[in-house]
Amino acid sequence: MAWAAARSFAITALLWATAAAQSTAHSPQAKTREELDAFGLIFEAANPSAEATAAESFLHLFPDSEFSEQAQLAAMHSRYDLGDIPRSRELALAALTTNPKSPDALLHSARLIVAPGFESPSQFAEARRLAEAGISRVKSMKIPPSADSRVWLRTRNSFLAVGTSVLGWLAFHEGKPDLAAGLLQQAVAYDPRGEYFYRLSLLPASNHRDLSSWASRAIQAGPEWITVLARHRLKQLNQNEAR
Amino acid sequence: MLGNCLRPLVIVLAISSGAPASDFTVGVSLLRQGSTFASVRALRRALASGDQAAHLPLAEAYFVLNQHRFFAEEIAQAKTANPSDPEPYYVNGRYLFQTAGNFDAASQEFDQALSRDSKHVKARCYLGIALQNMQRTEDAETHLLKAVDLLKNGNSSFYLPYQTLASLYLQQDRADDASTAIEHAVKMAPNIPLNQFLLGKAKWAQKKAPEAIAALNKAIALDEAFLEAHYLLARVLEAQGDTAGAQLRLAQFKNLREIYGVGRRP
Repeated sequence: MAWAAARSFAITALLWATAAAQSTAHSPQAKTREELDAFGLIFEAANPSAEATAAESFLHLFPDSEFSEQAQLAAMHSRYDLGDIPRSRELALAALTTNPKSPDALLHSARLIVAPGFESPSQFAEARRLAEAGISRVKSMKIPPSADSRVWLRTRNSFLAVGTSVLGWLAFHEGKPDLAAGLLQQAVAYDPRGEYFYRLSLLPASNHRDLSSWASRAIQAGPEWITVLARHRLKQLNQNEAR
Repeated sequence: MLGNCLRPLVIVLAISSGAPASDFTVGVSLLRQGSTFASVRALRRALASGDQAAHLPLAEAYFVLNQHRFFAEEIAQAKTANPSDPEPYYVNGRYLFQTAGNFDAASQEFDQALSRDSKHVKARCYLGIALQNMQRTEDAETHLLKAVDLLKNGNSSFYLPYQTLASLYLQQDRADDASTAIEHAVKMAPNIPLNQFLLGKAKWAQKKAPEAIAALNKAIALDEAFLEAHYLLARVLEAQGDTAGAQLRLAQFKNLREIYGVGRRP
């Protein structure tokens, strides 16, 4: 269930990037049929591990491919879903090097700086810059002519959710819990991912009464590493209440 | 030509008989299901085993994947494999039309398809659309009307000739003709947002506001990103004296423009 939600996000993002590219004069072209086949395996992967393997294998075999950005983004998301934050960070950096304006890479890079368990407070200013740049890029984008409006809106919202959740978490660290709660709830409204529910469960109880409920929803939504963190949080909350 | 006509029947028979599906059959089936990469692999296997008919669906798969060189190679092979078949010319015309916006070259391909089969309704229709894009409206209308005639003899759901004619007639302020044409298209495909939008536009041009409002609401329900439908609906409501309704629609229009940019265009 969790993988289905995460996968649909990653693949939709990939499709969107591809559709957007195709609306310009030059869309990515494979140099050989083998390269195109290898790129296809990323689309056909049945789970995040397979997707990461397919994407990284593609990047290794075809380093000069015009599809590199799409493969980097796919690997970046699947590694994140697997909880491999350092590798996801390397791939995000590579994607940003390939395309510094990629909204997906900008927003994901911001998210990685505040990733649960991997926070880098010294880079919070950079996280804000990346999140704001990503949100701005997403808002400036227009629906590609051939895109389904519902798919496009869902993808747009999932991107906005990433940026909004980062800004929410930064607000929490700046001592603005009300603003943090508002932004994180907005992120959940955009895209109900486990990561945002989990962050809501971490807010001070005085600012949010239903922390256990947020933790439970994070457990349900996943991915697995978020589920593990959320279970721990729920246990903590139950112990606090018992006291 | 005959081989290609029989091909869909062969696929159905192969699937329904429980016989092992050939790579060609599997490839075409995967292509129709949207599993394009898997389709490419199956069709290449079919080619490797000598099935020359696989060149055309393989070209279509590369069309979907927007791979220019591979498409060009396969479509050239498809033409060579079956020189009397109109389909490779039609597919190449569509590719030139949609991918390159090269209407002149596309119209030549549609002409080639029609020289092989004058009853190829899709080639006839797209020739009309290409000519319309080249501002040759009289020629465009002639071909679109021929396409409509071809449709009258069959049981097709191919609504595009009617839709394009309606659009062309609206440009020429021929509201009654536009209305008649688009009503045919809507009857064939009521869930196409552009059909409902053009119906609304035609009805509004005929001063039939309630029908225009109903059709525009349907267009919006089918595709929220159809911003021109929102805008036209606001204008119709305003003209009907429904200022509050018009203002609501305009507010929605502005809000949605923030989300979708210019939105869907007719």
